[in-house]
Amino acid sequence: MTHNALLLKTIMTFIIAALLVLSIILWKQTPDLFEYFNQAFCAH
Amino acid sequence: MTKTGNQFSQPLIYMLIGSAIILALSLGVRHGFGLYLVPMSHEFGWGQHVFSLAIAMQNLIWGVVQPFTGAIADKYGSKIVVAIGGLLYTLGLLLMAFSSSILILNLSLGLIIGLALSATSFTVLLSAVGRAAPPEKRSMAMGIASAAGSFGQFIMLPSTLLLLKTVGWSAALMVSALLIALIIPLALMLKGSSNQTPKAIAQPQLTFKQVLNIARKHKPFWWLALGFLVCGFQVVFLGVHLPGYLIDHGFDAATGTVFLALVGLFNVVGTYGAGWLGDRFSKPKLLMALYGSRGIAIIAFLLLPLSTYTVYAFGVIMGLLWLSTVPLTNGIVANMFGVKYLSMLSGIVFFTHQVGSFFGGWLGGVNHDLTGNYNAIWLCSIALSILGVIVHFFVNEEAVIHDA
Repeated sequence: MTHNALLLKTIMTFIIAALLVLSIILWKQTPDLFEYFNQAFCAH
Repeated sequence: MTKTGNQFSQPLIYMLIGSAIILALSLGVRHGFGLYLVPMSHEFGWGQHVFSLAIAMQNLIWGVVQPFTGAIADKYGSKIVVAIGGLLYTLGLLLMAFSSSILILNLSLGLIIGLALSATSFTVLLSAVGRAAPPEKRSMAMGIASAAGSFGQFIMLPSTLLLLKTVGWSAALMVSALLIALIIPLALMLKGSSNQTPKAIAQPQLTFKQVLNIARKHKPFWWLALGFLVCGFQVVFLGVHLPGYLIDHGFDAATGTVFLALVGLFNVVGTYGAGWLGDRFSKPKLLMALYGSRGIAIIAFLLLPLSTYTVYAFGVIMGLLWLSTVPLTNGIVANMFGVKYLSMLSGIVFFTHQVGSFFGGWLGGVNHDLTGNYNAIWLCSIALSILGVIVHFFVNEEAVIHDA
């Protein structure tokens, strides 16, 4: 693997890991998300 | 950096990054539309059927126009189609942000965004990736792009809700429009039309009509399309009606939210893994295993005592099996007919997916209204899993038209 490829792979890994952590934080801050979905699609 | 061993070439990496971000944005924003139903319906005093009709229209238009958008992308290039799609998507969201009448809602959320989705989602983008990737790495490349689309859905759903609660539905739509506008410059990262691929020189010069005629007579193509109908039915039934099923059985909102998050997270793992497996094993056999596993998971979920743990386990398993059908199904179409008319042919298969989606969403509600439970539709989902296994037994990915 060339230096450039390794660098790109490392950057991509960091970006994906950061986005994953951000997503989990967002999900933890929206416990009522399910309620929205339920009201939207299954009002019973 | 050159293509060596199991590495992707630099142009392919460049294109994969572009396709991945476009899919994440397009599908991510689309995944959050359901969240606008309650605030918009409350503000304008609409019954829930008003917003639901616009969403249903969007899905129908997306499915019906997909083969035609695909054919345009095959002829004039993914770049221009995706750029126009991004522009339409942006305009549709802006119009929706200012809509106060049912007509404008149907025009924006239904018609314009439905058209835009056909140009900025899986069919056109995966075909562009499929054209750029060498056959032995095609499934993996499609898996990476699909996983990005799944990741977009995972991250955009809570983001949309937070935005909606912070700035209100209209401003949230304007922020979404700004994000979607990024698709227009990102489209420049895509390659041109199928005629501009290096392989095109070696491809047999079959016309659009000839390829369509070959596909029409090729039974495994239609078995594959039927299999994708099963996928659409099951995913939309579970996505739309499982929250209601859990509420019926006394679960709280927090359990339901964790379920949705688990499906979203493991969907990313599943689509990536399916792409990786698709380059190593028979794709029709993988799809047989996938549909069979869905059926087994549903049976186990219904038979085991319902608890928080079984709900979470079901979320993980269904997440892994959620959109993992996408890279495999599109990969089979590419192997059968080559990549020259891949967008159009994948669009036909996607149309059947949308038909399944329509019935999965609609019949779930009909079943609940008539009986107060989902028993019949659960049985239908299990039967369709068996059908999914059977039809893929008759699918082979042997080339009918060779790329080179």
